[in-house]
Amino acid sequence: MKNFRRLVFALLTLTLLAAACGDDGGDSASQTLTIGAIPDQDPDLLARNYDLLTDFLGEQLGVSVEYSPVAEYDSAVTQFKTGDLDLVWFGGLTGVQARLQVPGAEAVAQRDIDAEFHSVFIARIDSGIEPFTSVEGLTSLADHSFTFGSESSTSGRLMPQSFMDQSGLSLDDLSGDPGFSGSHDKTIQLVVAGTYDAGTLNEQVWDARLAAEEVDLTQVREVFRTPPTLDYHSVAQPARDARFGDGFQARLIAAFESLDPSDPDQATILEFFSAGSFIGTDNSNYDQIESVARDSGLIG
Amino acid sequence: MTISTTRALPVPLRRRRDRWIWALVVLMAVLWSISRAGVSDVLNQRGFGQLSSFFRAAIQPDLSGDLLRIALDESITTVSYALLGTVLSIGIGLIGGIFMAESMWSPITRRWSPTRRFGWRSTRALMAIPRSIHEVVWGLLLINVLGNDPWVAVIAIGIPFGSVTAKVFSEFLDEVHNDSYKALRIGGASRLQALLFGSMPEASGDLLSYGFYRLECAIRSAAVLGVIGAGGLGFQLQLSFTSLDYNEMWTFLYALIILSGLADWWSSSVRRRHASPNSQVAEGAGVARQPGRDRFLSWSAISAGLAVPISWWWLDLSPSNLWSARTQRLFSDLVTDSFPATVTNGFGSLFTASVDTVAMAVLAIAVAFLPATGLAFVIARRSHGRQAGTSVSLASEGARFLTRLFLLTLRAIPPPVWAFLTLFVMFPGIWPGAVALGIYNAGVMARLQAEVVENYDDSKGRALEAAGVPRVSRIAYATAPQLAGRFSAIGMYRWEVAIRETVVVGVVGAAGLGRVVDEQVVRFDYDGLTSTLIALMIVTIAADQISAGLRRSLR
Repeated sequence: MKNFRRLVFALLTLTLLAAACGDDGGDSASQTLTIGAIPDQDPDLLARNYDLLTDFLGEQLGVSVEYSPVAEYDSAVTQFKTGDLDLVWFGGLTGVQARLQVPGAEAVAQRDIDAEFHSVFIARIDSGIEPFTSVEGLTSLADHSFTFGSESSTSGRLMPQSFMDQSGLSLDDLSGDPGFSGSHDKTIQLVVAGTYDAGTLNEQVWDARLAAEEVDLTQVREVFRTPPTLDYHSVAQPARDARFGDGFQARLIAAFESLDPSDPDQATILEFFSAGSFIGTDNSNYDQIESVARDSGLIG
Repeated sequence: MTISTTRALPVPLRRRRDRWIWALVVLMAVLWSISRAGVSDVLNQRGFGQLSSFFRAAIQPDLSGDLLRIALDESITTVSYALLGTVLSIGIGLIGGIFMAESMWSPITRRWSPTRRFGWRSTRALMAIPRSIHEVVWGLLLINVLGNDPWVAVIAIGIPFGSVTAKVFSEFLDEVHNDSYKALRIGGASRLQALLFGSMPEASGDLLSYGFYRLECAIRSAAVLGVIGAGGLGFQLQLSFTSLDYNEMWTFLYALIILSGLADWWSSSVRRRHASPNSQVAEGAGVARQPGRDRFLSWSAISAGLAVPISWWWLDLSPSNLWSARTQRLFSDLVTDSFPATVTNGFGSLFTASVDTVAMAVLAIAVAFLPATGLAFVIARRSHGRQAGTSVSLASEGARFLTRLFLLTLRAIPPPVWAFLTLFVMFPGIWPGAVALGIYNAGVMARLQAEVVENYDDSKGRALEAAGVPRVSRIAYATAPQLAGRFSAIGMYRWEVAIRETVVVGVVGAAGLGRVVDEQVVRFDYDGLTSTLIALMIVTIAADQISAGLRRSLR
């Protein structure tokens, strides 16, 4: 036993020495643009196939670009706040949260479809909830159990909740407290399983899963598609021009706008984002989301 | 009532009465928790198909080359986090343990003075705070200060584990409160000197062996930490979990099962040999070995030691990040954001959530206890209980292996994943959370209980056997009373752990502090989070006291 102990102490000491001598080189002068995205749909695909996007942006901007995957909505916001992420693909709500935490941050680009974004309400066929066409119809969810997606999702929580408010349906009218499944796919599966009578999610995910025939349509159906809202956009840190050279902001937007579906690599990038093309945007486009988020207490 | 009259009472009888009172308390707690969780509308039978599709995917993990390479890389990251987190926790435990030890505070000749007793008690209470907060919450706070840095995971594991280790190490020190300590004290050495040179040499071996046990726990924690974006297998698992790609999930789950299996094997081998370095029971080597030399232990220490700098290099840790200007700024931001604490939805709802959390944890252990106990007997390796010459049948060996694998799977799948799976077949509320934590904890408890079965002294039972007493009576009068106490102690220990773990199963819906934490985190409502964490600390420390009381009565 004695030898054993001596050995361990020797090794521990060695380790501490090695640690103390480790390189302490700071990275303050780094010229790397670190980008990230909220884990909204198929984050696994995006996280594991980001080379195309970083290569493309690197080539267009002349700086090295790194992709740093994120597993939760709120940690994307936190990492933007701490400065670990320079440019993030946010949802409407997380984008607003991020800009509030980083004064001077700016919305840079959005997709062609983001100005016309919809959420879908789905319900179990045996729940007795019939399809409806106007926002007022949401009152038929009363006395049913209901789940949102992630707490920070714009299309899976914020906007649906705002439409429910508009229809006069309060969350207290539901049977039990609303659930938060964690993601759009989880919402579908929990309604199919019958844990909840109804739920709401991003229309893109719903359409994609329908097209792939991954939804058990003997159990659930779409009952309502919301009026259009604004959703995803990318938000960039302030003071980029100082770090990456004058006009960097303009070149960044130009790079996004230049993504061309006729180039196979760029088409794949657009596909990851389910976008036809990207367009420039600015902060004022998200004032409506900000006021809705304020009303529902999601930002203070 | 003086001390001498208490002494005059027949001690065993009093202890036995204690036990019955405690049994009654536990029973009441379980019944109360059941009534709190409700018994109607619990099961959702429509969801069994969804549940089975998850398990069906187990036979078809995604084995594409890219994913396997990711799984391998991330396994190394997870092990690195676990290892460095454990080393940090041993460092904290070593220093904290000395200051928490009773012998550090107790006078050697005179009676305790009130100030000393207060000093000792408050040090212990203070050191209980870090372990009352779950690793994931530590991670969440640290990521606000350190950003996307590997230190987050290492420290998030190291702090709460360090606090647990300090408590355990202080008990080791007090247990070896031995002649050399006393001799040094009487000879004029200070408390610290006497502890360092008297008790420490003996206790440090125990600490190291305990460190290997913590390593095994740290692998599981590192996996859960992936959820907050700390990297490693848990992170990849979380990415696949978001889009519910079951085949990908199983690839990472298998990697976790293998890692946990290896860590469990290593940790229990080290501990078995540390407990009896010369007996070599399992191997059956008849050769008497020289005391003090066990190749396996030396080999383990060397490998763990070498793995530390490798992990450091792999994670690319940079100590300067810990006190960089950014870290200081972000730290002061976090403090400003978190204080003064506010109660988001009033004290009433915070109290309700705290009570739900306690009920969920009670039910979790109630659900887990009996199955875990049964399975513990299946997997326990009882070499000295068996008659000489009896050979082990292949069938029973196979059953044991499969049961071990099953239990390993239960504890390798992180609680948030269990919570979601449970939600397929149970309606939201306290029950699915309790069942999810119960399944996970059954995997851990059975393993700890099996070690008790392997190590307990069966001399009474064998004496009865020699006297021709039938097996049932032997179990009732010799085995059961001896094991029941130890098993209950394990149950109480896991109950404390389960209370902390309720914060990672918030997905099960409107129940407990986990839900409250989730909602406050997405709102960046850190003032409110502070109050919730204080509530959680109070509940955990109260549970710690109750469980300490029960364990004392069982001793």
